[in-house]
Amino acid sequence: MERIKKILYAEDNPRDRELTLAALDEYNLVNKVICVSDGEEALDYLYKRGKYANYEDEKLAAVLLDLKMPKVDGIEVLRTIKSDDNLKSIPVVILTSSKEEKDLVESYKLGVNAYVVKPVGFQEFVEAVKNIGLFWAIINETIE
Amino acid sequence: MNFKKNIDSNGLETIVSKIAGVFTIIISGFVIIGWTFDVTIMKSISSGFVSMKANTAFGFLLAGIALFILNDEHSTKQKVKIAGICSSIVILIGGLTIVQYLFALNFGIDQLLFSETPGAIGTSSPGRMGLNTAFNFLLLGVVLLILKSKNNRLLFTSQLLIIIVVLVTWSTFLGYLYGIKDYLGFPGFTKMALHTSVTFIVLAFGALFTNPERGIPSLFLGEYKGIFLMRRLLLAIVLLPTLIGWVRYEGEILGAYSTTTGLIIMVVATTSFLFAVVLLVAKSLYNSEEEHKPILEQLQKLSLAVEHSPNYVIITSVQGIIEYVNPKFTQVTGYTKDEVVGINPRILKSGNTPLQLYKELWETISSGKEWKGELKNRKKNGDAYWEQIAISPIINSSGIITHYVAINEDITSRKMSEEELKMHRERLEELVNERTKQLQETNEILRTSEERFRSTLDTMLEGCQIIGFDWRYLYLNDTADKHNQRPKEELLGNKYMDMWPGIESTHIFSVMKRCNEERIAAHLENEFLFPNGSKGWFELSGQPVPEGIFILSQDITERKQNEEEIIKLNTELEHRVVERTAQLETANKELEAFTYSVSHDLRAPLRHINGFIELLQKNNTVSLDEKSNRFLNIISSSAKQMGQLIDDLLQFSRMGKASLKFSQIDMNFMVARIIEDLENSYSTNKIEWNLKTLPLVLADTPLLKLAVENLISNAVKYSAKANPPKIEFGCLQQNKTEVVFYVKDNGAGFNMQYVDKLFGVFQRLHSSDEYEGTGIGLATVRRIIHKHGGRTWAEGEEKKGATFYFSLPAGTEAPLPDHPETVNL
Repeated sequence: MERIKKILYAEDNPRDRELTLAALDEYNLVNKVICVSDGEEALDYLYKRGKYANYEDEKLAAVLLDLKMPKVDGIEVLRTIKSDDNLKSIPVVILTSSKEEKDLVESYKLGVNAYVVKPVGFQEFVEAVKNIGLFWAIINETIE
Repeated sequence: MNFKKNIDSNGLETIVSKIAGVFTIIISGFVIIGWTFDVTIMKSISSGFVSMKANTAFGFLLAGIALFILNDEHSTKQKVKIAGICSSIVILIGGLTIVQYLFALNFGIDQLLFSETPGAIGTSSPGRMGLNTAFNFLLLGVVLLILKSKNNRLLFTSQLLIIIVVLVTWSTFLGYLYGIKDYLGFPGFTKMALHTSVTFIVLAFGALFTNPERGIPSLFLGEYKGIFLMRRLLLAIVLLPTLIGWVRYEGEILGAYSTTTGLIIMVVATTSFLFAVVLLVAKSLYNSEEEHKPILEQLQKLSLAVEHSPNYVIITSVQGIIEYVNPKFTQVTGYTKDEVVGINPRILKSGNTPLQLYKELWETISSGKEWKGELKNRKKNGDAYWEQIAISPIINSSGIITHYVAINEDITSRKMSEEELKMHRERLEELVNERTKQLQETNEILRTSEERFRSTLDTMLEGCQIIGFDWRYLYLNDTADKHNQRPKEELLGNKYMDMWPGIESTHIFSVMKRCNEERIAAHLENEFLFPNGSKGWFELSGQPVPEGIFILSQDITERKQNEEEIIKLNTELEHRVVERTAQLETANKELEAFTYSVSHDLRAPLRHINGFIELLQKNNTVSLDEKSNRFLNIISSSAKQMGQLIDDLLQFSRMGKASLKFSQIDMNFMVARIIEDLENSYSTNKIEWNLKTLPLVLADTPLLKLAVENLISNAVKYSAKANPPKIEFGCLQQNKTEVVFYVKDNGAGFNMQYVDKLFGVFQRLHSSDEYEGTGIGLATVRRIIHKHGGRTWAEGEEKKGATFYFSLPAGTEAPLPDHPETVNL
């Protein structure tokens, strides 16, 4: 295993964020997670602008996106990522409580790599997140 | 010689005879007076001449009387008898005298009346007439007796006798003329006196002319051209030889030439004279031949025409005796010419013709008029035949009918055809009468029918008008009057365009024109503006009919108004529908948003609750006591339950607004998949599945799957405690329109008392301790099945098990589409 890449995690709800991080902690991935609280910040990070202007350009293992976020929502971020030649190779995983058909359709249309519905039960939630992390951060290969 | 009536005796001759008679009487009277008073001149004319004897004078008297009587038309039988007696006495006188001379006897008759001195000039015996005189008297007496005889032979004889008398007398007269005394009588016998000879001649001619039409006189009397010549020649023949003779005699006496020369001269002269006469006659004959030739030819032609005429010709005398028939006659009737000539056509009578007709016929033709008619006659062989006759009288130039000519045509065949025709005509008339009766009957029916239609048309609620080819109004009913707003009397007989000025430029006129000229039906709705300002909508139907066009008009003003109303209402309705739809759409959108919100936002806190409780538990598994742990578990499971409820509700609501997309579903496949999926969530190892063969159905795949999922998961859930759980999925085919499926389990079952509550929303018949669940599952199933047009029901028994039924329309039929509903949550 190579050096584990980082995960960009966009979630507006702090409690959800906390739970997710707790789950990811099981695989000791917490250090690798960059948390942003909305789509705007996510894009700022991706484009190394605003708050993240001076951040190091690090290769990402995946982008973990919630759909319902203020300012710029998940769909928009997804669209932006997937239409940008520099960014579109980054796997995007949508992690959302919406099972709405239309969200699924829209996401896949835009080229999402995975769509995971947040389980209500915490165990399941943790499992899901762990699996996401394991797969995308560790198992899945990405372009260097 | 044929003694025919070929001369018109105009009575002149009779007068001449009468005058002759009178003359004779006068002379005789003259002489008798002479003898009575002994006057020589009266007796002898001249003293040197022999005297007319008393008996002669007496004889003349009697003869003259007789002649007069015989020529008098008014003579009675008695008078005629007297004439006869006179004539007989004359014969006696003559006869006796002759006997005296022949036998030198003397009966004393010579001096009976008067006496004469002996030695009188030229007298052999005193008072005795000459032998020639006596001879003449004898002949004349006979003549006078037979003068009026009808017998032609006797008449001819009488005329010959007369001629003898004339000849005798003539020779005596010539003697006087030439002065030859010797010839005055027979030698030795008394000589004929001069006036005796003259009287004899007169008497002879008188007797001759008594019957002018018969015998010798007939040759010289009459109208023929030749006869004129004959009369003249006669005169010449009498005079010229006398003259020639006298010339010769005197010449001889005078010594101019000798006897022989004189003879030669006389012969030559006479021959020349005769030659001249012959020449004249010949020429006359030739001329008349010439004249007659074309006449003859004409006659021949005509005769041939008649002979060969296709009609048969009968010529009859004035009395109706047939004189001539042409060959056609024989051909037709069978009688030959010889058989009918001289006979009255009566023989041909068939007895079929009424007598009246014949009488009429005779009256007509004898009055000089033509008669035309048809007779039915009989042929010689007895057959009847019809002839068409035209009889006309032949009238001569004097206007007298001489013959009748009948020209007949055999019209038997025509008559027969006529009879046939008549028969046929009668038959035809019969037939015509029959047919007329039939026609009358039919007419009656037609009339009744016509009246029916007429009255129907008249009273129809729609307006009826008939307009002719010439655009004149032929018929209008009362309703039409109303529609036209004009009385029909104003319009009838007048032209359409004259009645509605300006109509020719309108669309309605062009339509009607097309209908009338091209003979196609027309239909249009038109708004009319009336003179009083009112408007009305009328529906017009134009129909070509044999007389022109038939226009049916309906007042649709009200209907039009109604239509406008309806259109207005429809428009309004549409607006409202559009509004309502918009409202509904808005509502639905709102609902969608709501649902979305619910699904998303409600779940988050739940997740947090669960999450942090787990974390709490993870952190404090050692330090927390059982009770606290239990409390935490309850909180956790409650949160889970809420999540489930939310999911179910979401499902329920989402399904409400979806429209069905039908496709054919293989139930077997679907059920198998559902069971497969379930095996992941529930422990289904022990379950005994009894899956029947299921048919195809027409349904919305995701929705049906949901329904079936619910049913099967229920079955699994509630039979979990059974040992072993048995779940059966099958179908009952109840009829051709629907398929009934069932899910049967041997689980907890339910009390049938509460069966109505089963499918209600949030209705449960078990507590959540016993069996978890939200109570929405069955409600969802019902909703889905109902949307498909099916039914749901259930049967169960507590602790034994339950069977849930649902029906769907059969595989090939699609149910009616649903209508938008709103969800009541």
